Amino acid sequence: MLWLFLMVGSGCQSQSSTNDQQPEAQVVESAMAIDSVAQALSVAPDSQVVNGIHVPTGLVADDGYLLVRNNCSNCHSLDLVKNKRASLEGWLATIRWMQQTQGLWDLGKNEKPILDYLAKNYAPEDTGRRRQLTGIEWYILEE
Amino acid sequence: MAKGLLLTMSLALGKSTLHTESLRAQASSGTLRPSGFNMQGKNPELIVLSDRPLNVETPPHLLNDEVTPTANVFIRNNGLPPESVDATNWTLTVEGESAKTRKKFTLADLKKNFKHYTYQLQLECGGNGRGEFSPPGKGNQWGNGAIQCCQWTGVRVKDVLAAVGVKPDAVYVAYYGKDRHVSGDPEKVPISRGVPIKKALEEESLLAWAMNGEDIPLIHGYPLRVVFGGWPASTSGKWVDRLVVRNKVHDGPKMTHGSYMVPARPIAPGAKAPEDKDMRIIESMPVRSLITYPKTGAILQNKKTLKLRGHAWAGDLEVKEMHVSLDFGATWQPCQLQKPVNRLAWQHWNAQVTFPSTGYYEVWARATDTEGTMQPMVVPAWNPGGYLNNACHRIAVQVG
Repeated sequence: MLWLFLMVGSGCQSQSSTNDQQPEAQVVESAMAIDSVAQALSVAPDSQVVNGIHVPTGLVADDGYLLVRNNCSNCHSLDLVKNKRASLEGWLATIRWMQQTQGLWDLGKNEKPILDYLAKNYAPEDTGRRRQLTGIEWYILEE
Repeated sequence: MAKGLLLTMSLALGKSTLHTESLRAQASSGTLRPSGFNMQGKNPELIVLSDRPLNVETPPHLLNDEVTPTANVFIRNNGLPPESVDATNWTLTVEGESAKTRKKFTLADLKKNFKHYTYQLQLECGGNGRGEFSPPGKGNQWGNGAIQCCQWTGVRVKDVLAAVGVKPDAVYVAYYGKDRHVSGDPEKVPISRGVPIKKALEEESLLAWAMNGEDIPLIHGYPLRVVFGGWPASTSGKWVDRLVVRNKVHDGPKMTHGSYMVPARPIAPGAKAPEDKDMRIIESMPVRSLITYPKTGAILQNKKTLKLRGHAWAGDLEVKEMHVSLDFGATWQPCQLQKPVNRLAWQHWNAQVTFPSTGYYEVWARATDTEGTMQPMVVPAWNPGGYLNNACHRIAVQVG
């Protein structure tokens, strides 16, 4: 277990170093608030990638995913990222809205890689006016 | 190495029996939850859309009860619930430009000094059905289950306002609550919305402390919330400690920047969001229905008939007629439809259908309100916030 605690500790360091635009106070706060899987297990991130997914967060492990983890999960669940689909303009509009109304900081030089990552990995697909019923779990109806 | 890490992570999650395959599946499906995650006593079949803030939806088949059981009620939070609540010392302050006086009531005052009322009221998230918009609307990607009809007990907002006095220039009544902003900034208010004075003064508009006959659970607003049935549930503020009577349309957080608004004039799918001045605030929710029995995916063996049940509602209006179709809307069969038990309660419907052959079918359900407006078969007017998708509910059935 000691090994685990050491690993978690190093994860916090990597978080503050990859997130250089984040105000100091926010880094301290997020490192102390171990209330998400991502923060509790932020150990050597790339080694936790399985089948292209960063397992603790569920994010697609493409260029920029650690920036997304570090800048987005302080306030809200990464579910809100993973469940959203938008174009680059759409993601930018959401970031601006969060900056104007929700207290998100200036992302600085991280903004472009974050936007590129989101627009590439969480892009909308055109499902038209009505999509097919999908994901049906069939069962025999007994009455 | 990855396997070793996964095992370690399983230990860290406090579930030593959690298998790596399961963890991986949870991560990729978005169902991995933080170690301290709490379902708040909800039915485990409910679907977690976000764990912070907590947003949880109810699959339609779990809404089959006439009054929604608390364990099956969807959760929509903009912020985080208060960390601790002292109901004994809880106060409600009523003030604002258009309040004649400023008064503070304890919860005990409210219970003692005003008459109690109990109503079944349908509360639906303005974004219910958002997940079907293309391109996607902004916000939680709700399926069909951000709707509930519980029994609420409390005092009338209008009785409390009468005790305070309302000036003739009153336009809006809005709430403030004790929830916390997700950013942790104590100065930020997660949400403060309201309704026009006319809606606030309706008989069914409540300051409620009980849900289904018991104290409102913390996650649903304990110890006090407002309930405005038939309107976007975001107007029914939780953990309420202040009502403000405004002399203009309320301008709290989530009343601006396109929140709970749709374009005043239709725009093309994916078009740029208009300025607020060209949007309208969502008021009464549109006509809608659900098939709550059977659950989608039913296989019928050795028979071709099926009994169906569900609910229908129409915001401030009533539902006049209910129909189902087995042929993608080409023909419709009327259903038996009950009256609401009180104004703004949802209505129960049932039908029996006979499938003409074996094969794959969809049952589509369509409600019509008292003004003759029907649910559309396809997703209605696109809007940037992905609000008000009341397209007909569909279930899949395999016959034979």
